[in-house]
Amino acid sequence: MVYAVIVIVVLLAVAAFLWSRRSAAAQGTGALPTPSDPLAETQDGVLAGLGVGAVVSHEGHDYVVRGEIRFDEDGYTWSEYHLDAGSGNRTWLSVDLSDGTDVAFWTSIEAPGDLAPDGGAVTVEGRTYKKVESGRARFSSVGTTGLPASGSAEYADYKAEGGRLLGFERWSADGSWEVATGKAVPAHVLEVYPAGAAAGGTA
Amino acid sequence: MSEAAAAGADPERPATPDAVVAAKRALDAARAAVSSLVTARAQALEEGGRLRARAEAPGRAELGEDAAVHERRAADLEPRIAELRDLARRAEVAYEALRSGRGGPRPDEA
Repeated sequence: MVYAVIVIVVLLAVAAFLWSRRSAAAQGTGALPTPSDPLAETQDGVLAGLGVGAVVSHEGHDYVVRGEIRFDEDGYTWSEYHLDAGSGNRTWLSVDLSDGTDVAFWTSIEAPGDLAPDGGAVTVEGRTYKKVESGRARFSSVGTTGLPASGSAEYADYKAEGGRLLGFERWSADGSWEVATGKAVPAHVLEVYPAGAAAGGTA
Repeated sequence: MSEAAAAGADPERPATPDAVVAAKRALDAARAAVSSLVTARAQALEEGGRLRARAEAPGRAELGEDAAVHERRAADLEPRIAELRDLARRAEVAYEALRSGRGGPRPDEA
């Protein structure tokens, strides 16, 4: 008699377990939650609040963020911010969180008209840069960027000894290349003040 | 005195979640205030520059006075921006002290 009760209890438990699994699967909750990197860099850290209307302070300059371009190349994303410190002091800040936090300031240069990212190495102003990567990405823009709201762009990134950067971008297949030199900076040296009331923020 | 103590944190008083949230709000508000004033200063300088350029046109010299008003306004914002920037830094120290569990506000400062 005791054995019969045990068998019945075990059968009920197995049935309940199978039923719960089937119910979970039917509700789409049977899959494991998507794992995420607990140490991944996010813009909730040093760069929290970085966006149009924010202020970025660096080396004694207060830059107002006037525009932002977000790039997406098959899920690989990064952003560029148009910074303006007034008196013609304008620059661009790139932020790539895909592999740590890569932050760099960029300054446009007047390059020879035929300068293009054709080879594995490019020499500009006596400095030789080697190609790091290139590709095509979709972009969307907000604020003042000089670009349409969305489109596609080609890019090529080069790097010289000592870490100096050289970047090529063009915004249409037959457009001319825009060339800029860049300098990587540690993210923690930036002070970011999110957009306040004067910029339409909520402060 | 440590920065945490200077910021009002007491190692013997663990921070409550509410205190951490309040400190974060204070930090966000201080940073947004800095941003607002820096932007207002930039706008004043931009407008001052625009008027200064216009004042060079024949018969527009009086615009130079308006330009000066904007430039003075921008200059007047400097000390306020410095104060708020300092406040934001202190707010960050206080927030990080609470978040890292180094202590909550002292009873006389809570």
